[in-house]
Amino acid sequence: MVTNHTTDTRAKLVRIFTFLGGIYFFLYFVLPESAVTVIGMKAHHEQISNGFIVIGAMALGLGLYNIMRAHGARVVFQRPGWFNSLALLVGLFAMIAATSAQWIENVRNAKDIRRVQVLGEFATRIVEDARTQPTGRTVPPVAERVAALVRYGDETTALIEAHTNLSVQAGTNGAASLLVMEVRERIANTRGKLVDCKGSAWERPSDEDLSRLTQFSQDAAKLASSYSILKRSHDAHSLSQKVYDFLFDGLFNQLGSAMFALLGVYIAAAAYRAFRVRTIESGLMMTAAVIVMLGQISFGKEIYEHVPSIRQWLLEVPNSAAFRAIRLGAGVAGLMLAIRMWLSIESRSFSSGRK
Amino acid sequence: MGGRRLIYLLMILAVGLPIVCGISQKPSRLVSAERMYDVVEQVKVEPGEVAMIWLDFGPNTVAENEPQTQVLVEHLFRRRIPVVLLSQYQQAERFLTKIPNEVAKRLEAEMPGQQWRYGEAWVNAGFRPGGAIFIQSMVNAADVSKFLGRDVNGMPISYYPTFSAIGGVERVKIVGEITGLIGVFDNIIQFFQKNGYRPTIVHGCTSITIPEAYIFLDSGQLKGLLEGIAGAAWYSVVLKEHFPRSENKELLVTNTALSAAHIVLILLIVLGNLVPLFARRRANHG
Repeated sequence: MVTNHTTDTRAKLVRIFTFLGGIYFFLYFVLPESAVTVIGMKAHHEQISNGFIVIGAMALGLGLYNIMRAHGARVVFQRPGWFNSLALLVGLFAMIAATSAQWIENVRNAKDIRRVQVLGEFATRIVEDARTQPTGRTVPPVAERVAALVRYGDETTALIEAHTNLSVQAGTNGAASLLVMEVRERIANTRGKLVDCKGSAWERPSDEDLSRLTQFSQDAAKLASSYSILKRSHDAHSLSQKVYDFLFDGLFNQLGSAMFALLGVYIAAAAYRAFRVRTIESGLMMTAAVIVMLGQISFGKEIYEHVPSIRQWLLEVPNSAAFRAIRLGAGVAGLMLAIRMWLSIESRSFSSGRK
Repeated sequence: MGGRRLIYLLMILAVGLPIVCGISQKPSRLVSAERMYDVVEQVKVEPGEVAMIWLDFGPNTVAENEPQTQVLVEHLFRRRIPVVLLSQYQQAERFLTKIPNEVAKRLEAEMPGQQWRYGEAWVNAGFRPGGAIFIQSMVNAADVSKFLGRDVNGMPISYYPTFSAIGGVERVKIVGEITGLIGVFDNIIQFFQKNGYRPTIVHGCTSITIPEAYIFLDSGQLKGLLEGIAGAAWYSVVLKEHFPRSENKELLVTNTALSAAHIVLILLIVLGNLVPLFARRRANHG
């Protein structure tokens, strides 16, 4: 009884949300922009859409759970085909591990690169605040901020230098490579500007001091750009990247391509056995197919000069007309299906508890 | 059984020989690919404006879609149009980095001293779930860079100076959709637009979806089309005519191998019809 009541409530909730979701996107698409703005839909549309995207992304997690449940049970109880399920699960976890390792590495890199970018942004902010007194917030004196900038700059350039040396030692970037030389040159530039900053009196900064700080900010941005490329080229040789390359390029890509390539030989066998001209219609179809194939290949023109033009006509005129008719039919059918889903007429499974 | 083996052997030879021997023939002229070249060549891009290329393919159709992406990205890079790469299909994630990297390296080798760097020439916005809803939201966003958020490396896209202020979707001047899937191209055609804005859309499709793509080409919703490998091969020929140092020999060899396979297919169709016909006649005379 309780189960029936829960199922009923769930079914009602699903129907209500399906209806509301459907009507929301329908109205947003159909109403003029001015009306959407007046109602207030426009202001919240991005958040609402993001919510739907998140729900869609959750399906990936659900799929993962289902795979593990279905195939995990088969492996544990050694049901027929358990070995294939084991291969699937091993592949799944290997890929998750490799991708996660890469993701962690990327996040760490992004943090390091961001550190250099902050250096430039900090300098820009000091200049802006010194030129126009900030309203609504209190900032420390310029001298104090510049001292902090210099400290932070020294630490950051030391970090980049260490990473660059590491990259050279590991052999991922040659000491004489353009990139390494560029990074080292930019580190030297940035350090030079930091030394200049130390020498100025920041209690009352002059225009010249501030323009020097602006120059420093530009140099730091350039350093961040070069450093991000150096980091990425270094990581291209990391273990996690190599494992990922092996799994994706070495296995997944090759197996996927091989599966699809098998179609080629099947089509050839089918062409010989099944493509028989028995009626006028099948004769027309075969002629069209041969012309379209000939028009697309290198040798077609050698056989008959106008084959590509005839192919073009076939695709543009009879083919487009036929496909439009098919698409219109499919569109009307899709609309009907969408309305049925929107009104939950199609979703019998939600109320399956009340057979 | 023996007949089938012979057919398989013929196919392997037809595809394998041109690849092993490196034979390449000039591809067939495809008007749709030429139209695409003209569109990319003539599009006017102001600073801050970008091209957006969707790579919606996985290993299954990589043989056709990868060369299409290569020629399109090469052309955009040569024109110095900043490119945002992203995907509606999770299996494409790898190609979003690999292909532009390879093209950039090839161009840098061709033109020493020039660079096509990540974050300057292109950015990888990664896989984006949500399909049509995601596209609708992006189209309505005030700033595309902020809406996209972070790139595949976890860096905010707005930190890259070239992509820092894309602004509204009107600044996306050209949209490319390279796919072998059903439905993802429809999302672009249907939803990548808003009041007073319709981008220039170009498309690279697999041979199997060419007939469907033609209806959009005919209606003008699509400005250019790369039809399978043949389309990419002809595009590369047109590229070479304008940029003589552009090299895509591997693509031309693949296209020749595919052409040889098509010839075998046509011969098999003809044989498949003639053999039973002669057999029937002989039986009747007998």
